[in-house]
Amino acid sequence: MISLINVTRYHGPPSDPRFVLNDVSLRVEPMDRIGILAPSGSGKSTLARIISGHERPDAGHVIQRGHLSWPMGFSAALHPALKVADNIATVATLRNMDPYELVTKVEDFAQIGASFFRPLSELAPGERSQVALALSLSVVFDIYLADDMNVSANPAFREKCDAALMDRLASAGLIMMSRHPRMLKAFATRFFVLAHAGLIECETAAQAEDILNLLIHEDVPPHAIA
Amino acid sequence: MREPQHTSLIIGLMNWLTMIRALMERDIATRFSGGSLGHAWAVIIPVSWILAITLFFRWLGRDAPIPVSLPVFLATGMLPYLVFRQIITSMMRALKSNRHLVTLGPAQPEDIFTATAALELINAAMTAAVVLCAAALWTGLPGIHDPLTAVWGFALACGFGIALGRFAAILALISDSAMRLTPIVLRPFFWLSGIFFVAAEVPQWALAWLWYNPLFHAIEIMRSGFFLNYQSLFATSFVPIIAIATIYMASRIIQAYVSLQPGRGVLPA
Repeated sequence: MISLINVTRYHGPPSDPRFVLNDVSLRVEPMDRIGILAPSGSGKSTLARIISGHERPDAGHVIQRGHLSWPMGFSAALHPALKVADNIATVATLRNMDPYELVTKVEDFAQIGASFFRPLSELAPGERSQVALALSLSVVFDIYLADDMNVSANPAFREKCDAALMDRLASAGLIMMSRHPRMLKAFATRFFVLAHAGLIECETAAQAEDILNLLIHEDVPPHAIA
Repeated sequence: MREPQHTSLIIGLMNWLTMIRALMERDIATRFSGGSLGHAWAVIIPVSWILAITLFFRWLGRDAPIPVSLPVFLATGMLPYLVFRQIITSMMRALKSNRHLVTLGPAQPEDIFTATAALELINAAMTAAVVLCAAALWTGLPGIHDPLTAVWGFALACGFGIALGRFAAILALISDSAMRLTPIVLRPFFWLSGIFFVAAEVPQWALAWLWYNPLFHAIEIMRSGFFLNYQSLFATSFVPIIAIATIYMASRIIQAYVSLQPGRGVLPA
């Protein structure tokens, strides 16, 4: 379970704040699939960092129970000088998993052939993103967190990721933030719009898309939406 | 059926040790990657420094201030100093370069500090072994007079490095200036820690100031244990121990304060 209670985060001085999140509340139950539609620069990454406890809000509280994933497709923790296989083995050891099992699983999933045994720095960006996604989907969590999940250019791999995520969601929750309604429609069952530092709950993905259009393109103020 | 509490404690400890080992192995593999000598550089660099300083003193025609061989005298000063500096550098670098690792969990900043300090202590022990063997081969080392005291002095220098390294690493996360200023602030330790002299030859007015230098005490204690014919009347373990405790606590307080600030989290971004 994850609970955000009146969370506020702003930049600049308190006398002249630029709000990223303003009095945002959200409760995520264990099997909830939350889809947050948010344009670029709306505070997706800040919200993801606050949810995962890596950033403290200026006001409000965050309660987190259970194992929350790192943002899916996050690759910054993998060391560029280490071979991909060694990176994965390190992650497995740190998380008290069987390194051989995780390496085999990620190798099968990522499908990057011999590149799997080369230093990460020698991989093409697409291969790197495939490794990061394969790693995220090979570890079991209670809730998966996706912050504008890096989608591979390879359609076959994309389908494989979608299927694997769906499989995981049979026994886990999801918080997905994206600017692509397609992603949210495919995985989420509860929808929100993140814009103007606020989170607005919607009934469907289509409604979320409409509200986002009103807020951003028609410049309708958030209080008018309610 | 629940496991007995002591069993789960042992399993927890084993898992933690496995994680520390994994962090150390990652550090070894990444810090020394790209060269054929690999981890050996951790020993080669300090040994080369000691050799260069010794040759320089030989060239100047200087003798040790106490009746022992010059290479061994310099080694007993340079070794704790270089280890002290290396520990600080590594601890500052470790927290910055591993900050994303914390996102993957469950390693926390404290684990990164522990793994870095443990690896540096292993490097220190290897460097000490190489330097002392080389000095023995060069000058015929007569043996260590009081090994426990010598090791205690060396341990105090390492402990001071760990505490100061932790403090500097936390400060460096708050401000880039702290990161840049640390080497400048540490520079005087090279000249003021008794690497090239002993307390007995320092004027009283200067000793009154040098008394506040924990590294000077550590080096004097190490030499008192090392050489049969040298007993420092100046050194006390009290100064390094108090310095280690104070600096460590200060770093914890700053870390707690920083992590409570908006925009910060488990590890300041």
